[in-house]
Amino acid sequence: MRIAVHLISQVGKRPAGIDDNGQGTFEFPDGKTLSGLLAGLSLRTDEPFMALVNGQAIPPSERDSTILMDGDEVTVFPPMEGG
Amino acid sequence: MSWQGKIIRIDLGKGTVKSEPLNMAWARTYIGQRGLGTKYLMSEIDPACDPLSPANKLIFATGPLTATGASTGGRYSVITKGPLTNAIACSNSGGQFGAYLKLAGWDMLILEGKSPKPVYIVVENEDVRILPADGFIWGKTVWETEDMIRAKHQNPELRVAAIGVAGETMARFACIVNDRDRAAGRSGVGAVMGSKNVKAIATFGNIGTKVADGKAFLKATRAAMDKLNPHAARERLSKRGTHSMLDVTHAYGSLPTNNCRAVQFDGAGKVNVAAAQKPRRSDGRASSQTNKACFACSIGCGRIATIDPEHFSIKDKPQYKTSLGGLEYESIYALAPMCGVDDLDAATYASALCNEHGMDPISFGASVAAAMELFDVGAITLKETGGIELKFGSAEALCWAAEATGTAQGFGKEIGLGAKRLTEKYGHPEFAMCVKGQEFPGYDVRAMQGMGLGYATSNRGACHLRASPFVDDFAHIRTEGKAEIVKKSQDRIAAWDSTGVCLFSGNAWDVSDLVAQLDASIGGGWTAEQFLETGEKIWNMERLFNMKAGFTAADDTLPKRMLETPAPSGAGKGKVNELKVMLPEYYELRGWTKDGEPTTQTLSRLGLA
Repeated sequence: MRIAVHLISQVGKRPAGIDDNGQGTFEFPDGKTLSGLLAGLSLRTDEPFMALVNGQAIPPSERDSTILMDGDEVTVFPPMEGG
Repeated sequence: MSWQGKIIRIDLGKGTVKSEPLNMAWARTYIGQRGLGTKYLMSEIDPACDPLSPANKLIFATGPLTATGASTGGRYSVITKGPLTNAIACSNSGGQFGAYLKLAGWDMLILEGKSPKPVYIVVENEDVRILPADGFIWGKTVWETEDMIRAKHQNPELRVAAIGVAGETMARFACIVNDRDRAAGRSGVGAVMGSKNVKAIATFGNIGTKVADGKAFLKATRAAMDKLNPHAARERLSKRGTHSMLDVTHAYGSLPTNNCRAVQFDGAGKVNVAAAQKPRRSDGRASSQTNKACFACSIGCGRIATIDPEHFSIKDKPQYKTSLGGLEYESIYALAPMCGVDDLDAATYASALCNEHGMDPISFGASVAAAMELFDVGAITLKETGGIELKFGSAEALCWAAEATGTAQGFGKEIGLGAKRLTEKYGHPEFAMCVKGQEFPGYDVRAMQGMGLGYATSNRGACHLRASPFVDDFAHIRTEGKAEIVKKSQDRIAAWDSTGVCLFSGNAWDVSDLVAQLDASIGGGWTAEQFLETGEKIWNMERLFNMKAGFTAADDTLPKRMLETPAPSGAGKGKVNELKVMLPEYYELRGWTKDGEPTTQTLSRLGLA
């Protein structure tokens, strides 16, 4: 299955498969979880990050149980504060 | 100890300057800046007074960590009764001005009464003078004022905080701008300065500051810096600024658009950070040129920008074809999506005019958006606007409004009333996206439930810097747990805002990191628990001020649109803000009655009885 990933406002090393605009498409076997996808992105761990699947917020506690489907769009961003 | 131990008191009516000792008992209890300034204001004015009358006072307060060398320790606050809200106003600014006031040997400066003629004030160490502004800088822009004061006093190191014509004419959201593009922005503190006939305050100091325990202070500040500097949030703020929030709120569906008719903006890609950093065709330069830091700050979230030299807004205006203070998230939200404008250069120009004329870009932009909605429904017409098509999405109308409002011309004077008064005047108060009369920052609160509670209960009206429910709000669109998150973050922020460091340091620091620096600078054996309880005390003191000013639980609310009209898209699609569910729990956690008043027990526990 193909999953579209959009990383917003990430800093540091760009994960493999993600372009300059923070976007990439990945192929996975069926059954891939959201937490599995996020772990593969090797995001920085010195701040939390939030995730949406098809625009819906997925709490960290539900990432393990969220099974991705073909065509899903995953958006990842830090919980920034404005100014 | 890192308090200087003395304050400047200026009686503008009599034209007198007095040095007086800082009330050290209050300083040890309320720390500085927001807490200490509020304590002084609460003790010296009647909260029911007219905020634009001589009975109001205007307090410039530094914190004990201001100008000590602590990372981000360059902050000061302006505390007064706000003319936008009639509530307590406390606006926090960075830049260099506050640090130089402290380095001149002063913790605070209090302006009282009203000068019979326009004046400005110069503070050069011990030397404090009131000087005539009439025929000199009265009527000038903020930028001209800074240049003229420096030239006249032959001191390029003078740090100037000034009002523009917006403040002189008492636009309700006029702000005080220091160092050209840093501002004590919210609640109309610039209008209070204008009401007192004070154009500017210029500071220079080289007296320095002392801390209680030098070795402990160096150890604590070094450890804190080592934690802050490599942090991802610092790197992001440095490289992209707060502007990068726009992609987040757009994706999440909490980006106020077209006066909150929408929560996502089709033109987001034209006004986001990527657009600002992309070289343009005309001159090969990007809008966003580089970053800028305040005193002692290693984050550097501020932006330096240029406007496309071919853009219509600056045709025949060579003064804007140079580097200017750039867009932050709150300014781009208010000047672009909120008004439906997808023109980055127009937003940069309008932001520059806010700095130049001394206007809060949040309230200005949201007031223009409210005016656009009035125009959209026919409540105002070309007759009122003087022929301007004040339509959502019009970059030309936005740029016109910035100039007209900043210089108090024509319908600009109406926009300067703020969204609440403007929409009431034209029969549609439901178009005001305000709490307690203060316009929304850049978060629609149907997808961000906790932020809605934060806006509703903020003592200075709608504000994104009074509570910090971001992490939970971006994970859960629910009401459970929000009251506790909002209450605890309000207390933490109230204390943090009293120290002299920037809230953004909190991206990397825990309370214990800040308390270690604070204790080394002022002594007293501070603990994290004591620090947080101090924040709670400050919050309750502000609440008491507002109660005496006439506010009740009925004012802890949100616009109808947030409570009754479901979000049209995004993660919160179909949701409204469930304030009525969260508010009773919040009052209970605060130790307040169901009518939102602190109980006698709560006031006794906090030493406020």
